[in-house]
Amino acid sequence: MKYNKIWAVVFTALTLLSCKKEYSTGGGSPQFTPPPHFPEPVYTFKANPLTKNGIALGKKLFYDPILSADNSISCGSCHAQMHAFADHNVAFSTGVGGKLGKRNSPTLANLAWYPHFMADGGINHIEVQPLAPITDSLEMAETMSNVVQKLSADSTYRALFKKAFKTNVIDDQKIFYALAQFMGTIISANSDYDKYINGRISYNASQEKGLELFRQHCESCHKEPLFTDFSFKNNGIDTAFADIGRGRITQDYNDYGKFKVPTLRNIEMTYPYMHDGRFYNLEDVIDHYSEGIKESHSKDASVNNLHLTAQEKKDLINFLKTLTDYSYMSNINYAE
Amino acid sequence: MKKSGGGSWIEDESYYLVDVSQTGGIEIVLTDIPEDDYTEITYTIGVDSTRNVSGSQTGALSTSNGMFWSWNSGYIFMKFEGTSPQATSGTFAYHIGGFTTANNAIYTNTHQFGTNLAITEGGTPKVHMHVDMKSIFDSQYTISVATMPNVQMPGTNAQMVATNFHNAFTFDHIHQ
Ligand code: HEC
Ligand code: HEC
Repeated sequence: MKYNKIWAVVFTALTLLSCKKEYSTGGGSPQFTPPPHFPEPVYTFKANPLTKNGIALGKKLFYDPILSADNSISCGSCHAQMHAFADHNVAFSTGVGGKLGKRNSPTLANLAWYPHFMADGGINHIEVQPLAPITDSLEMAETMSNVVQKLSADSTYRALFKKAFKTNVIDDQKIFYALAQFMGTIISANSDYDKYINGRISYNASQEKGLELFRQHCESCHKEPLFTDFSFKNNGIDTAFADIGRGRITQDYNDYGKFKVPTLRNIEMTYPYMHDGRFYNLEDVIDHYSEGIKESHSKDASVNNLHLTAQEKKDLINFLKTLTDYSYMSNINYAE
Repeated sequence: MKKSGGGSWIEDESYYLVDVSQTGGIEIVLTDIPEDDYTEITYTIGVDSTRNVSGSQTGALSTSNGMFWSWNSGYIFMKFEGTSPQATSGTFAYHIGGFTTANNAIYTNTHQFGTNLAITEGGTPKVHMHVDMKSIFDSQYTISVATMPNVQMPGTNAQMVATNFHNAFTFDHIHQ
């Protein structure tokens, strides 16, 4: 009996060790530490081993307008750290030549846990996500072969790619690998909610009540601790759809008007809300779920006017504000 | 490549992107084939589903080639664009792909040589194939640029073009 127990402990220790190894190699330091209350990440950097130099290169690329056709727009132009990597509180972002995009720029955090990207989920992998903004005529309006050419002509970049990937050859894969290393290591898990979950602080009565209401009415889609289950749902904002959302990808009428359930982490900072930025503040969003639900063929059966009291609305908002993570928005590792 | 005595040889990382807008013929060179007699060749038109969901790739599968859909992840297996007075806008564009079960547009062709193809040290035998582009419009399905000038995503239309396109490939002869 005793021996069996000892073996069990040894095996557990071994498993933990081999799990840890997967996340950090090369340059060394533990650059990716999944928070203990998070599930297993989707992207584990297996084919793209994390290094300090790889992450640093990804960050430089993220903030460099060289990725756009006229060297005017960087990823950071539409994804600003102080707004939780959403745009500067505008409904639609401005791309090359002043063109306006078609959807609201979302927050970027915990992307290593995302099984798909964009409001319609059309992109299936973190490494190929940057191809969309770089080549979109309304965003960076550039081609990958031009990007490769521009970076290859730059001696600073040649040195940085060499440091990160031990090769002189810059290609699209190395660019995507570096960006995935930077984006994939942006983690937000230090809000008051996380401190509460980990037993480090307690909520006041209103926040406590807000969490209870949240778990009753919102949790089924905005699942803790990432605050999304990544499914596609129609949350009743329209009767007819200017943007068919998921339907654009599947061409299935049943999916028209469905969008990826977005995370609610740092939601206080990322207004305006919904795929088209139609709601300017959280009060408007809560009013929508309380009395503004619109019927349509794909509306989820679980969303119906909640008829919340004024106090309940306040409680929900007070809870949502505990999802704000100031340390992530001021983390020097993510800063330009 | 199937061996006459049984067994086969499969090339590693066997992805080729062919640009037929060049005139003349296209030559794909396979190297390091084990010495043996071979009786047939099998190849895929398209990209296996795994590589469509595995993030960034290199070589023929690099996104720099413009053969990957940015907004709806997956490879474009075949691009066929041109002008036609029958198309309402004067142009047509077929971007064909699709790897999910519902939208599968991947085809595998096998051609028997009818005789043995001998691979020997220093030898350069050739397999000649023909691709008759007319098949795209007229084989299993009849496709018209007048009624269907644009196919730019996976789905039923892409599957019809893919079916016709795989019929375009025929084996002609081998040179020893
Ligand atoms: C012109 C503004 C703009 C630029 C520049 C831009 N983005 Fe975005 N980004 C957006 C918008 C808008 C969306 C949402 C698009 C959609 O849902 O269809 C988005 C979505 C994303 C997503 C998906 C997030 C999610 O919730 O699924 C990621 C990741 C991302 N961008 C990273 C980047 C990177 C990396 C770059 C630079 C290579 C970049 N973005 C450049 C506006 C921009
Ligand atoms: C049936 C699933 C579902 C339920 C239940 C649900 N939501 Fe949502 N929620 C969504 C979807 C889908 C979106 C995105 C819609 C869009 O982009 O147009 C969304 C968007 C939001 C947004 C805007 C996010 C952003 O970044 O723009 C907030 C805030 C929000 N929901 C809060 C809540 C709250 C609070 C509740 C409970 C009262 C709730 N949701 C219940 C599916 C749901």
